[in-house]
Amino acid sequence: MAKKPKTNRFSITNEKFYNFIKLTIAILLGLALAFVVLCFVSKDPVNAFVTILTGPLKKPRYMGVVIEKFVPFLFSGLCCCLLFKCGFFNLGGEGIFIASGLLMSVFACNEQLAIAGVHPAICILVAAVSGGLLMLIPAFFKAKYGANELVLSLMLNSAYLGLGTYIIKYHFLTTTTSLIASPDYQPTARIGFLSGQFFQDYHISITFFLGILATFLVWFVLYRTKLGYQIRLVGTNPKFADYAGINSFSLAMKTNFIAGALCGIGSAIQLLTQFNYFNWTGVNSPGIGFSGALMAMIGQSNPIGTFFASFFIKYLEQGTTVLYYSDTSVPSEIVAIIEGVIVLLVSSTYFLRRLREKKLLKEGLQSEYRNDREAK
Amino acid sequence: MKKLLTIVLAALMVLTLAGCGSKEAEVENNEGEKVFKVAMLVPKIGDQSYFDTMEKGRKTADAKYDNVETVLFEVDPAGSADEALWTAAYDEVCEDGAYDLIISANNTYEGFLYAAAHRYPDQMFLNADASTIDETATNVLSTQFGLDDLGYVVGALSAALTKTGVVGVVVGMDIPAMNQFISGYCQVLTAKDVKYVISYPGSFTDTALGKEVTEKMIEKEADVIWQVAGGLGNGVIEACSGHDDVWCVGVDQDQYVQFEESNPEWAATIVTSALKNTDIVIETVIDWLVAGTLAEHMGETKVWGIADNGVGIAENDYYLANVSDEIRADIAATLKAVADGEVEVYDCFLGETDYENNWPTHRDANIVK
Amino acid sequence: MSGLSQILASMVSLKFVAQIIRMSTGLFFAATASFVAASTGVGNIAIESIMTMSALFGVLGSYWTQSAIGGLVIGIACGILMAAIIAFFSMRLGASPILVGIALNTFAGSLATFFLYQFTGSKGSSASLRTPGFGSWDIPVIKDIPVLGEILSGHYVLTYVCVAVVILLYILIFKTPLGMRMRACGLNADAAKTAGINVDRLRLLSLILSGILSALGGVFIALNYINLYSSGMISGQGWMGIAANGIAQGNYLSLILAVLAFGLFKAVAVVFVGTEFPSELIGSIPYIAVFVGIALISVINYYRVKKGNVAEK
Repeated sequence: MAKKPKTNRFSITNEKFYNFIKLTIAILLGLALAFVVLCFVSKDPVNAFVTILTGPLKKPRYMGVVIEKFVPFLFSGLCCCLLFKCGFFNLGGEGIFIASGLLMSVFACNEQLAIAGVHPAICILVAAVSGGLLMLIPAFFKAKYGANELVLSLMLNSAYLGLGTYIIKYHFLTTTTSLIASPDYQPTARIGFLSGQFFQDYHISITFFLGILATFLVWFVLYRTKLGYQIRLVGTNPKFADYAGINSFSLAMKTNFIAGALCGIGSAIQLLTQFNYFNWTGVNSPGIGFSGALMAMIGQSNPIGTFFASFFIKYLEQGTTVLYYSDTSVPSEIVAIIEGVIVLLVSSTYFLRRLREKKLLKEGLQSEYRNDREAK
Repeated sequence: MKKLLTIVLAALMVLTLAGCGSKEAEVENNEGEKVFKVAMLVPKIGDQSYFDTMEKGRKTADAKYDNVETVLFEVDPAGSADEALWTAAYDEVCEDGAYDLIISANNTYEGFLYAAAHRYPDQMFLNADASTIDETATNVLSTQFGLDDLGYVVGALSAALTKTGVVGVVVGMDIPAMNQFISGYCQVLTAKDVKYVISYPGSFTDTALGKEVTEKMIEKEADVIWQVAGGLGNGVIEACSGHDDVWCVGVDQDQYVQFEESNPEWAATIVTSALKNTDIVIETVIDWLVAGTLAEHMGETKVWGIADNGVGIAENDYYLANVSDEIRADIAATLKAVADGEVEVYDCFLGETDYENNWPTHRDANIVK
Repeated sequence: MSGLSQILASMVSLKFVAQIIRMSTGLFFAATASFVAASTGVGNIAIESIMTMSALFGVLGSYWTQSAIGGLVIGIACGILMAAIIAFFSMRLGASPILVGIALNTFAGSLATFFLYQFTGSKGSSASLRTPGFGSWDIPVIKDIPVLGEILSGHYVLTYVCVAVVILLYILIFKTPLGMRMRACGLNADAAKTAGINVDRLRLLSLILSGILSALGGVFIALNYINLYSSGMISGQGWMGIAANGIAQGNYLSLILAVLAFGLFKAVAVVFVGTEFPSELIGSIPYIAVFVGIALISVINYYRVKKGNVAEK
């Protein structure tokens, strides 16, 4: 191969920069479309638009809501990150949030475990282990028998929702209110904010740091360990991984277990920081499992990207909520338009592709050009 | 790159055009007069009964006064009773003390209201439909309705109208707050030896389910069916409208008037509605707010019965046309008797043990399974 | 167990059979939508969201044109638009159809609420609007036939359309050259390309058809079954359609049987609602059954391949 010419870091030919540009333009287009919609919907579109972007900065509590809310989505996103990198489309996250959450709720309501500090740890552990095991079910059939893990996981999601509703209604129903929900959690199980005015104002609890830790760990595993290398290899080229002697079955089991555990932790965090009981029954599926897939997509399956994607999306959502409470003519659902455009554009591999290819050709980077053409 | 530029430019042009068309922000009333601000928090409106009645009250009060500004917040369109969501919503409206009064209601969501009331003791709240009688707060005005009386009257009317000797009621959920509606209903029907079917679909929103359970009821020969199930009731009305000889009784507001324009086939099956005048309560409370007397009522639990026009049945033209003079006179007499206390109506909440031990017996006295 | 036997007795009736047919119509539309997309190898998992949006715009369309047909047309247009979006992002811009499907599913709910709010001022339902819908059809001669009459006649107009659509789709996919080319794309896209078949165009066609069928399902639920749009009214029928297709594995008869089985379970679940027997468990049975079915099939296929009897798919 000829000597590789020096690539300009800020050129679109550089893979990383290309992804960055793609993301930025996707965000700008999403915001632009939202602005157009605002013009039709609101009496003061410019002000509304500004509120969406800066609203959460107005009060510490707003940022606090963002921080509090984005952690469970982060965990779900990390789970999907791992799975996408491995080439798995196991969307069981949604069902695991419900199943692990319900199981954890039983522990959370238990009085015998009510020891401060230990109680939440046990709950999170229970949720993690159960999540990991449940994620293995569709993965097992895919890895060993080649079944379609997508349909299997979707079926389990619906099944868990129905089963969960049944268990709550007939075996674990609260007696203090008329909600279809579990009894209240023990106060010791709940995870509160850290002490100190700053943490209280910004709703920072230990889960925030857990989230950062998890992001770092996933990044480390994926990019600095043998396991991660194998995962990425299997994701890019399963046949080659096979020939290289990687035991794809055991790899799939390990990856799915870790991913499922992350989902379980996310579920536990969501319930213990924001709820006093479990009420994800009937048609109230929390939706965090699927949203996690979207965060991973926006973050382009990179853990750090997922972190920022989750934060950014939740930030925008809070912005639209702030807008709604100051001007009810713009429903907070408008954020779905922004998110939709961003997700769709970012996951489109051909977006801005031609531009990149032209430049690649120009700079004589033949091998990169060929890689680019073949990648799908 | 060119394509991208074209798109962006086109978008900018559209923006400018649309921007030109957008209206000016309204100028506020700045005459130094005290403007009362009221916020109403509901999961969502559009159920054609429960929350729409509250919304009606809010709109009437808003139109009546120049110095009252009311805002509706649809907090929970999915009806998920998500604790985080509602806590944030209450924080949002209470935090800055921007509103003089906050209104909400409903058994499923009132827990959040009381939690907020404890967090913000200086804020005034109205619970427009309280059911949890043990929850009180010094800054909440709780309203209860004489639902048992209402049920009694509806039962009497059903007994008078039925030709098959079987009537029915669709109750959203099997909880004490809802069973309060039918405690008088079962009582009078048992007394008159009219059989009845009760269905608890377990939802206030699944209209398709409402339709299915009503069809089942009609199969059992029920020909006067009362819906007490919020949004799910729309399915009940639809099912009744499909059968010529079946009457439907609406709930919360005059559902005949509601559907008269938008859906005459449905309206034609609604002989009357069991009114729960949450709108009148809201209007009255806002009257008190403007008059400055609201603060005195905080901490009270007020019951609105037939005499205060809190509950009643809709006596519109359709009712007059379709129900004979004799029956109407009977019902009017029943209304008066109940209001005056001459009739002792069975009350679900008579004593703590009464519900668990005696309610099932009372309910099933003349039931068709 | 007199309660149970009474309930079971009520199920053995013609009315119950009619109810099964009623509850299966939406599922049939969803299942055929999933089937036709899968036939060319492009999976459509956005069916639930397409049904939701079409239901909403079907109702809005009916309000704007004050006619049921108008609503149907606009609902179908919505379905086609959403299918086109899937096609555009997955085929032209290279996103995975599954990811596009997930995205649409996640946003459709909020989007529908958004549009509903804009046009009706309510985030809950369209009940305040006058929206002419479809009714039922009592077939003139057939309705008087003793047993068959009750089963065949008096169904919703769109149920009869559904029957016609199911038959037409079968003919299209299995009896026409076009259908054969579509199936070729699904079986082996590269081989099909070599044979000169325009895979991209056929995939686009199948997605559009899938969108139309999903839209019909949504319009059926919101303009025929119940004349109303309320949020969450589709309640998983799109997913059941995907499940039915998952278990059918390309076999049309299996698809029909699966849908009828699911319809049966739904009807049974309704019977149990409000009784002391848990309807939620019964509602989960279809999903668990599909899971077990697919898992079993995969195991069986695996061992068949291992034994060397059958070539690997």
